[in-house]
Amino acid sequence: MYRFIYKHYFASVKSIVSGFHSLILDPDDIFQEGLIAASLNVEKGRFNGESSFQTYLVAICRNICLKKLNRHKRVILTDFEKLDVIDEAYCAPEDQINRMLRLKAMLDEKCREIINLRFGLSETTGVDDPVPYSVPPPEHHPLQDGDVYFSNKRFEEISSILGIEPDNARQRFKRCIGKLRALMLKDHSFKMTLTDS
Amino acid sequence: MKKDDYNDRIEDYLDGSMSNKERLDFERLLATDPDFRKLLDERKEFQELYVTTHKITRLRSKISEAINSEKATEKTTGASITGQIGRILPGIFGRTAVAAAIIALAVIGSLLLFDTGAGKDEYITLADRQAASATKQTDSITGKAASEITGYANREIVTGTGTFDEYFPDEFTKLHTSDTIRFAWPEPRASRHLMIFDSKGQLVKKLKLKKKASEYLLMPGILGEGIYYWKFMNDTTLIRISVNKKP
Repeated sequence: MYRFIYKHYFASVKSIVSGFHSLILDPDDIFQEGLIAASLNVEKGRFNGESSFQTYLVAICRNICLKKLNRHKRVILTDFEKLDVIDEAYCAPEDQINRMLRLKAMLDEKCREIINLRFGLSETTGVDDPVPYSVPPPEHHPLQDGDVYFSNKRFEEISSILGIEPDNARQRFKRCIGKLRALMLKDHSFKMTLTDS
Repeated sequence: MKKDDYNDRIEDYLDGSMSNKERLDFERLLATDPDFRKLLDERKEFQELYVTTHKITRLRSKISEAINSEKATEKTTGASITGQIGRILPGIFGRTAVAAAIIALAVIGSLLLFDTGAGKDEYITLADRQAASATKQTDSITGKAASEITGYANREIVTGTGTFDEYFPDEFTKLHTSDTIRFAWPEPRASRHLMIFDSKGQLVKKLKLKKKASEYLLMPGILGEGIYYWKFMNDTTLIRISVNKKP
C-alpha cells in the first residue's frame, strides 16, 4: 500500500517541497513524516474523506514544511501562510517521541515485553494494533473515550502468554512502568507533564 | 490514600477485575478527587505516547522499506528500458544512432539530477560514489586517497549496499566493535557536527564534519559493545544502532 502511495503521490509532495527552495527540507523525509501523520489520522477516523487522500497528504506535508522552516526561523508565518486546518492526531512533539524511544531502549527486554503486552502491542509478532479488551467496558464508564480502556490487555491473559501467575504479571508491570516513569521524571521535557512521586 | 494505591486501583479498573461495588467507589472517587482524576489522565497520556511511539517506529520502517523497494524497482526499470532500447534500435538506425541516443539520455539524466534543487544524487549508488571518489577525492580522516581507505587498520569497512538515499548505519545494520563504520547520509547537512550518544543519553563522540560532507568514517574501537544513537547537531531525529562483540 505504501509503495502505491509513494509511486502515485510522491511527485506532488516533492513539488510542494521544492517550492520552498530550502536545503533543510528533504522530500523523502517530508513524505515519510506526512504519510505517518496521515496514516495515524486515518486510523483515528480524523480523515473525513471530504477531499481526496492525495490532497490531504499534500496539505499535511505542506504544514510540516512550514513548521520545519518556522522552527529554523527561515520563514515567519504570516496570515497568508496559515497552516491548513487539519485536525492532526500526530500531535506528540517529535522530540518527545524520540526521547520516549531512547527511554524504551533503556528498559530491559522483559520490561518492554510486559509493557507492550499490557498496552496491546507486540514487537515479536508484529501485531501493532491495540488488542480489543476482552470484557466490554461498563455502559457509563467515566473515561470520555474508551481508547485506553479498550486497549489494555488483562493481566490474566498476559500471565497465560508469559507462563507466570497473574499477580506476578501485575507486579512486573508495576515495577517496569515505575522504572520508565522514573526515567521520564529525570528527563526535563517529560518532567513538565508528570506529577512527581 | 497513597498514590501507590491509587495507581493499583487504576490498573484494577483498566483490567476489568473490579467488583461492581469497587467500580462504583472508583467512579465516585474519580468525580470527587481532582488528584485521582489527574493521575488517571496521566496514565492515559502515558499510554498514548508509548503506543504512538511504537506505531510511528513501525510506520517509519514500513514506509522507508516501501520507498526503497519502489526506488529499486524504478532503477531496475530504467536500466531495463535502456537495455531494450539498445537491443531494438540497432536494427532500425544502426550503431551510430544508438550511441547518439545513449549520450542524449545521459545528458538529460544529468540535467534532471541537477534540477532536484538540493543537489541530491538520488540514484547514485554507494559503489558509484566510491569509484568516483577513488579517482578524485581524499579521505576526510586520513587525507589519503579514498581508494586506500581499506588499507588502514586492516579492518573491514561496514557500508550500505543499497541506493545512497538513506541514513547509514541504522538499527538493522550488523555492527561489530572491530569494524570501521562509514556513517553516511543522503546529502550534505547544514549541521557540521555528528553526535553519537550511548543508551544512557551520554555524549560519546562529537564529530566535526567537513563542509559538504555526506559521509564520515569512524575508526574501530571508538564504539564499544552496546546500543548507541546518532544524530546531527540541532536535529531531533535519532538513529539507533547496536554494536556487538566480534563473534
